[in-house]
Amino acid sequence: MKRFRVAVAVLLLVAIAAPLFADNAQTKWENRLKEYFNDLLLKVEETKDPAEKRALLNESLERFLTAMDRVQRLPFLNQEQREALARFEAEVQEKHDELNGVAGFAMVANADLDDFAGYMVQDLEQAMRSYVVLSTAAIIIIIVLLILLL
Amino acid sequence: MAPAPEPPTGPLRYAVVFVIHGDGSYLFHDEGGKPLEADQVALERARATAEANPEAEVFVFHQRDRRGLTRENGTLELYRNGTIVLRRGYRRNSGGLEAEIALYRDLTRIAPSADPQRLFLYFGHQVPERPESGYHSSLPRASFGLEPLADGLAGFLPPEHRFDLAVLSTCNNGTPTAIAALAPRARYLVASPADLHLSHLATGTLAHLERRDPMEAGLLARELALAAFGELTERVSTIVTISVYDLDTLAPLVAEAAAELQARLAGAEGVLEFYDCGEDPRFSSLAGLPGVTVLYRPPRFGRERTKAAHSGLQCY
Repeated sequence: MKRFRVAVAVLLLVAIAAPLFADNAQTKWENRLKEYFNDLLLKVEETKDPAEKRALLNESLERFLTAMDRVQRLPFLNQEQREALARFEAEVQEKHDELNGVAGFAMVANADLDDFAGYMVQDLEQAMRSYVVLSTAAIIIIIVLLILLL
Repeated sequence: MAPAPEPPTGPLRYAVVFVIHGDGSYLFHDEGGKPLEADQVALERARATAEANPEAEVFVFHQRDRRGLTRENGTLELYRNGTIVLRRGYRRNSGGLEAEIALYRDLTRIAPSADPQRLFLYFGHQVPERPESGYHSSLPRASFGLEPLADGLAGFLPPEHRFDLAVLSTCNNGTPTAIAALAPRARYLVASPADLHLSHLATGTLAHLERRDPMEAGLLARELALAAFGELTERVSTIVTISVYDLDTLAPLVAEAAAELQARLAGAEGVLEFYDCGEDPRFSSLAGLPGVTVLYRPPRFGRERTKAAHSGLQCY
């Protein structure tokens, strides 16, 4: 009987607390994405060798693009979510293209790699709200998990 | 215990309303990689403005998520004559500004017959061109957009009055639709016709309004835009575009474009793609309009790094 009461009390507490935490869930996961890019900027700035800087940027951008590609193949997405994710992916792809001097871009010079990484963080932090807001918290969680696991 | 008496107040020649949206992800990183919350940055600036205006009544509404066990998702700070006189939480139930308007009407000491200089400043993400859900984290189903915002502005005003200046520190709200929606509610508008960095527009120029000629709202708008532009261009490498709109001059000139954009909105689905109206031959009538002051600096990288000018208006 005592165990039953404890179980009921725990369930009640969870029922009360869950909506309070749910409010912040999307914000927290959006923030995690922003931190991913900022961590990349800090690593690039700490690295001395331009080739290593470029490799770091390429590796992280490619990991992100792979995650976005996999998320877009999820069967339960609606058209608006697919479109929003595709547009955000295009923003990231453009950074990758510019870094490597393809698709009409001049390659980012070695001396500009730190500045480029800073620009990338600022631009994606702005763009993220426009595109990711239309996704659900669940999709953002999947993106973050894929980035971490890839 | 009886409530503490409010300090005596002097003349209130300025009525200022800040609405700071923080009910979502506002994390950004400064040049050193330090994490900051954009709504907290805006809140500090609003407080500094309120404390530096001894002849103003300043309402600072901070729309935020729910914290802990309380159902409150907003905080009001009310300043009179440069001193805070009230700080309290409140609860928002809708996507618009109904809760803020109710508090304002209940608490303002400025009589409807008075004629102070009126300023409205909104800090947040892009206000959607058409009402959409998903803007507020704590109210995910609530709808918000330009129309509810314009209705909200009316709620802070006595009948037949307008704000002298409205400021939208948001992305992509320098549009013909926004001009058409806000022209009945404000004389001048400062907004960005492109992405605006999350760190928001600086408001230092609003300190000590009493040292200015209160009739010169247009000059105040231009000075605020110029100072914010200078501050942003020093710190960020993304695009910086801030426009000042003389709404009386502009509203009739953009009416046709606004109607066309509204028609597009009615049939559009999904995410709107924003671009400079000056790049679209269908909106060639919007190029070089009187009543638009454009401050523009292209981004340091990206496709638009060589774009030399901006029309000051954003289309989609």
